[in-house]
Amino acid sequence: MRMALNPEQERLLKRVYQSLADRPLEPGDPFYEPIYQRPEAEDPVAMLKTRISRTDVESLHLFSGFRGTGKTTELLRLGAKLEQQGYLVLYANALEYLSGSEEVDIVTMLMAVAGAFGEQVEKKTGTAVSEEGFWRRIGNYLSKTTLEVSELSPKLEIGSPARDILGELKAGLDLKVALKTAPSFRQKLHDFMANRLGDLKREVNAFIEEGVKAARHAKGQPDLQVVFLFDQFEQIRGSRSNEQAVIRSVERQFARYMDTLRLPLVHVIYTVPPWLQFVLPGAFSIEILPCVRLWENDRQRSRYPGGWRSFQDAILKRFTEEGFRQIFGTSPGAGQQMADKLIAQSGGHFRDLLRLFREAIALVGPWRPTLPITPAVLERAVANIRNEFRPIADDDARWLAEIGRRRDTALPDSSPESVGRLSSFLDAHLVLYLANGEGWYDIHPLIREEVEALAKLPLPAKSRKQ
Amino acid sequence: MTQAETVEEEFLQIYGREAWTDWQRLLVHFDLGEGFAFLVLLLPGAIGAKICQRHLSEHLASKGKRLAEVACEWRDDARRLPERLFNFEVTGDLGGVWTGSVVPDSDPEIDEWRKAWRWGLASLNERRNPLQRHFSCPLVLVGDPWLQALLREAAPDLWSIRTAVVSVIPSLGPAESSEGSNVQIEPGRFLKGEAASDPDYTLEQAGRLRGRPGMESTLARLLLRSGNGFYEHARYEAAEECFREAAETLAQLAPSSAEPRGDWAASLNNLAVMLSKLGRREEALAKAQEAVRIYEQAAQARPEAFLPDFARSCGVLGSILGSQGRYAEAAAVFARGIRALSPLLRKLPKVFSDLAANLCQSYTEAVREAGMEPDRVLLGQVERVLEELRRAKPSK
Repeated sequence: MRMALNPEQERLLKRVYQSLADRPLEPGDPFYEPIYQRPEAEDPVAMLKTRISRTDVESLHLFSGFRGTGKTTELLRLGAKLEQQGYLVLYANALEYLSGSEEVDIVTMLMAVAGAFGEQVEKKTGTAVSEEGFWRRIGNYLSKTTLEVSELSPKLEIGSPARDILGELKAGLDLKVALKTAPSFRQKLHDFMANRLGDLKREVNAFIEEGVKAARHAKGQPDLQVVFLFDQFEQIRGSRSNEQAVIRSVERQFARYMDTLRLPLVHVIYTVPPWLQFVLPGAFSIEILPCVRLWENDRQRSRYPGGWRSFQDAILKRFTEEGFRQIFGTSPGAGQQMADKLIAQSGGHFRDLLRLFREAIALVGPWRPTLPITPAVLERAVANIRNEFRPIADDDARWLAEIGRRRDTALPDSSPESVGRLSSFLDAHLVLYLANGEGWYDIHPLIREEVEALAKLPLPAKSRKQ
Repeated sequence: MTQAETVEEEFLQIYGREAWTDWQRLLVHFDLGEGFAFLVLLLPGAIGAKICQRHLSEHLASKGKRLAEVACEWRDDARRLPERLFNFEVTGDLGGVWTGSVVPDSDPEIDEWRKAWRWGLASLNERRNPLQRHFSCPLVLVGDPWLQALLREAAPDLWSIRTAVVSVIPSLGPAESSEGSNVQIEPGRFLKGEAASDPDYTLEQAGRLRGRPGMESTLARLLLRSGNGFYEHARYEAAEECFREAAETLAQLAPSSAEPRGDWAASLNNLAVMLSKLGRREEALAKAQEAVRIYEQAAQARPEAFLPDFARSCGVLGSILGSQGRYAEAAAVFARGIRALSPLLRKLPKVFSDLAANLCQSYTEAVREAGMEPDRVLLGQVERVLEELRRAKPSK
């Protein structure tokens, strides 16, 4: 017999549903679960903090993680910890300064980093780095330089980068907006500045140094250490038409210009795409945030209790103990056993964990309006979320099956095409990155059976690959 | 069909009861959630989308909120989606924003539409965080099921913050009248081959070929036709004898090419159906499994020729498993058949639509009986093709 939910149960479901919302958590948030700080876990944030505190004046670090693993939350935790130790922590979102879908070049990137730094110093200390600010200052520098070039070469033709840049600057071009949204301007700027990179870097360095001095002055701390978090840079990727070119361009910045990207007197952290480690293996050290490990890297994927406890605790915080009992039942152990079914399917991916539980809560009302929740609801929730991973192309299934078998990327080569395909697996959580001592990969539990079945199928028609 | 008086009735007439539960999954977010949410609604057909939009609008109105639309009637609307969304003025009474367009695969300009959506979504992907800040209410993106893969690929950051993806899959075939009815999955719908209009006469002709070396294949074909004819006249014992003889004849041939293997498998396939009809289920199961195995091998050599037969044999095997109450296994076998047929269905929808519909209906019945959740993506792929066919046919 079907039962209806009473108003109290409806309120409970609503509260829990809202508490399961996926959002970056500020340090101190009651829902924050220190999953990376447990003794048995890997904590890339602690590693970064140690490295920063061991380098006195300035340093450069790369931080990465796959979508939904809690990168921004962990970066904010790092910021809070450093602030507690007396650092001035500046945070900028790279996508406010750079186009996320087009190639990036060192000229644009340097300007974006310096511009963002200037704005954040002003925001955090209430003091402008210089009277004119970075954008006007760099605009003046460009006007001066292009004018000199034009005067030196009076026959400079219309359409030359210098003439065009000068023209646009005179017309009142908003440099910050143009860098992000005007590819043709970026191209001209890059062409013009390519052999003046040293000059540009000097301008940027001077500005950054002034910024640090201004911040120290404003805070009254002559030895103040400054940390600059340049977040979301890893989200720069192309669309299908230019993905490979964008991958190459990002790769180029870090392969060739790593030193150029260092900032004087500043500890800078760039969040970078995780695939950098595939295209430039061993070139530099990247702290990568792994998924929470729920299983060991052995053939039978035996359960790893440490990871399970983290997720069980994280869920309990969102449900509250009383809420958990009402929703999953009061029978000792049985409720946890039911919740564990969803945890097992999360793959150690925090966003998927929340999504699975949310889906189950959403299904109760329209489908099985009774509490405690029934196993059928949980099964359907898993099925619904699994559907979001589909369709899986046969070719992809074969590669994924290989990853599941080998527990590495099974990357055939480091061509942009292969890297792009692997990145899309990681983006969609079809593949998960895990770590215990060293990093390893596995496929998401939600797709394991399907991948195995598809990989075994004969090749009925090559046209299946879209 | 009676005139629908409410939005719910209208929805049920088009999509069926199961789909209504799907739709409720999206609606429930508006009751439980708060603030920004990114909801993706996938369904075949713009008419259904309009019904859903109307229903959501009424639902929000009952709470004193309104549903606004950022329409995407033209490709340029899709391409310029980010700027149109950010130019949208958010007011206090806004309960949700509805955007998107349901463009079926059959649309002559589908490639252009895909490009436009790819562009629009990739641009929106870059502004994911500002989007979350801009709207303090749910944003519903509606589209044909193909939008899911495109969204995942072109807008991975946006995809990663999705709140829910709801696929409304119409129930195939007539709706069941009551809960818990004992479903009979009919294997006869998967019989292979033509039927003789006068099976006795055809059997007589076949008799002339018995014992003549080199005529075995022809004999077997006549027997198959006779057997199918007897089946249509409900003379199952006679049919069973025909199919058995055909199978035994062809089994002795030790075929070297795929063609006679196909006839052999067809005989076994049909024999399995008859045995099932006669209640000899264990023997029926064994024959059906053998047919599946032979067709699978034949399909590896000539997929275009034998994949449909392989799918059909999956239909028979699934039906027999279902008749034994082994619904979960039956569902897996039907799904296998649907997957095998899907590429060909897309190429030749008119040829394979009946077989695909039969497989899907059997699959849906089997998963329901097993208490499982259907693979909605798989069903959606077929339903889209069938929906396009239905639309292409003028209504009589």
